[in-house]
Amino acid sequence: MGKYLGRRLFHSVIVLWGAATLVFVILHLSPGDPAVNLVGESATEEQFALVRKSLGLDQPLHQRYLTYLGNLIRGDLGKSWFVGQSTVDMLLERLPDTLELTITAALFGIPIAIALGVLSAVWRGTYLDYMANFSALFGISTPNFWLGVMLILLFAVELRWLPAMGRGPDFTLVIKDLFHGNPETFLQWARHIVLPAITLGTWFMAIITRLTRTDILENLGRPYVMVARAKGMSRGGVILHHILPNSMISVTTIIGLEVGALLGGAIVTEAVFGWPGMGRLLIESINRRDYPVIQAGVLMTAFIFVFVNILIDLLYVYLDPRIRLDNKEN
Amino acid sequence: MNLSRKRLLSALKGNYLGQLALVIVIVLLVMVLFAPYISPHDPNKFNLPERNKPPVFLIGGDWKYPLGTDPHGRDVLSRIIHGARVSLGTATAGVSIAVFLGVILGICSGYLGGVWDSAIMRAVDVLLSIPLILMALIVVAILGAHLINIIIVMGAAGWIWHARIVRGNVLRIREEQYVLAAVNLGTPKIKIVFLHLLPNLYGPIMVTATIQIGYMVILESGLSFFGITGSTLSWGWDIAFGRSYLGTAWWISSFPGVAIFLSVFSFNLLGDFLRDLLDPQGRQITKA
Repeated sequence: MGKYLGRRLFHSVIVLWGAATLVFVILHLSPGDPAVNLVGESATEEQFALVRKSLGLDQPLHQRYLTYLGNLIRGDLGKSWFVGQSTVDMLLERLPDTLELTITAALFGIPIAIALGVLSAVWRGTYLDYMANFSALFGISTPNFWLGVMLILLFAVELRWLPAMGRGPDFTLVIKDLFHGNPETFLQWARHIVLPAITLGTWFMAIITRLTRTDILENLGRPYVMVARAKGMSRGGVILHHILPNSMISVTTIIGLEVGALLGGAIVTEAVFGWPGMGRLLIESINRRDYPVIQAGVLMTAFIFVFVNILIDLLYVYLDPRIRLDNKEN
Repeated sequence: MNLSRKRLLSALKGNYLGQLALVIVIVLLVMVLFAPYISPHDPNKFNLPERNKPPVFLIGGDWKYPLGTDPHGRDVLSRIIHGARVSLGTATAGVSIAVFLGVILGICSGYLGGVWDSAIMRAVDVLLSIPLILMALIVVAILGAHLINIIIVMGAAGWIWHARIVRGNVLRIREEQYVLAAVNLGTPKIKIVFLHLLPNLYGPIMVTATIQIGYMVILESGLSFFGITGSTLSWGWDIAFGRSYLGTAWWISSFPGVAIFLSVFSFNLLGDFLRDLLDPQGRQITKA
């Protein structure tokens, strides 16, 4: 276990280094001068030179890269060029909102997806199966920004049931008020998050539904299934008690692989609903060419991806006792 | 398994969803190729007296503007027809680059193994860890709002889909008897690649490429939605534009989204159809 974790951590560091390098290269090899954005086009050549010098932009590329990596190793992700605040502080301030939205979307999507996948595998070839298949196909074919706009049109503009923009009360406040027996804050919070969560979770749900169904159907012909059936267990019983636990391995794998896509979806969803998360900060920073914030933001998303995938690897051991991480190849 | 035209046609005969997908794809192709000839109006022409006309099935709508007009009097249908060029054009070009890179790198990774395999698979991991939309937003905003930049991002980040699938298949195929026999006879590596590996990869690549086109249509529309692609004649841009008019003219945002949905839907259906045809047992040759 320890040996495995060590190797896995080393691998993660390589991925993070790769992500940091990739973004560095894209940002610093681009034409155009970020100093122009900072001081405006009307500034004099001396002012430009001063700004470039203060940001280290006057140094050669390899020098800048080494400085950047050196700072990264020391845990210094730099300061925003525009706000002057530490990028980590800026991102951490917004991160809880993004995590709140992403986790809510996942908690809404995953159980429904697994249920739909199981139902459509158990009743394969029935109308229920077709409905589940079709809704999954609908989910992977609908762009989330359009789904968001349509949900706003229906539930906010036409029916006026839910707010179109913004977020509700802070989550800690919601918990506190629930504890004091006041559900009103919670409802207020839920009314704001339901549309963004559906917007973000639908695609995720569709992917997992399809995977769960295929995985279960693939397992149906396996010998252990035939043994269970021969003992007189019902088809549904076999799926629930024997196949589903096995399929959870594939489901968690795909959840891990799609974490990146989920965070990407959060960026779009935040823009549609004016949700004050990390995605909006990144879009603002991209628009004003605030390189340190962009670099730190990409690194943070990559870090979340890597972290979740390590957690999922550890989860395998519990889901399938046959897996011994130390013996696994790769 | 090979895909002959005869097999394709006979499988299509009983598959209504496959037929539907094919019809939609053909309609889209016609829209891309002949947009100026089939669109009823100029998609960019302001015509203020005719602004905010509802679609034909609502009171006040008429056949002159079947899907209505926007606040500048531009015809929504004509804009959708022309928008197909941007969305599908960039997606197809991007996927072509992705397939090209993915096949080469996938074969290097699976067939050469060793350092090649480790390096390419680590690159895949790096690209997986950064959301594609974030990467595309950065590249397009920083390098400049040209369609060519979007195509480059699609290719430079999309190859990982194909590389993973190609690698998996190569690892399987290179252990087959006929390949081992060829190796023992002293056949050069490059000949084995062209004679034995590539012909077996057409099928799986066709499936992933088809599905990826749909995915990239969504990506392009997403970028246009953020208004950073430099093109104002795109499905995503119209959705963003129409957001301000949801209360008065819902059709501006709604119909371009339907167009995106239908195209992605049909590419997904077509991909599923090809997968069932190639891989009826679900033997995972099309899964990474």
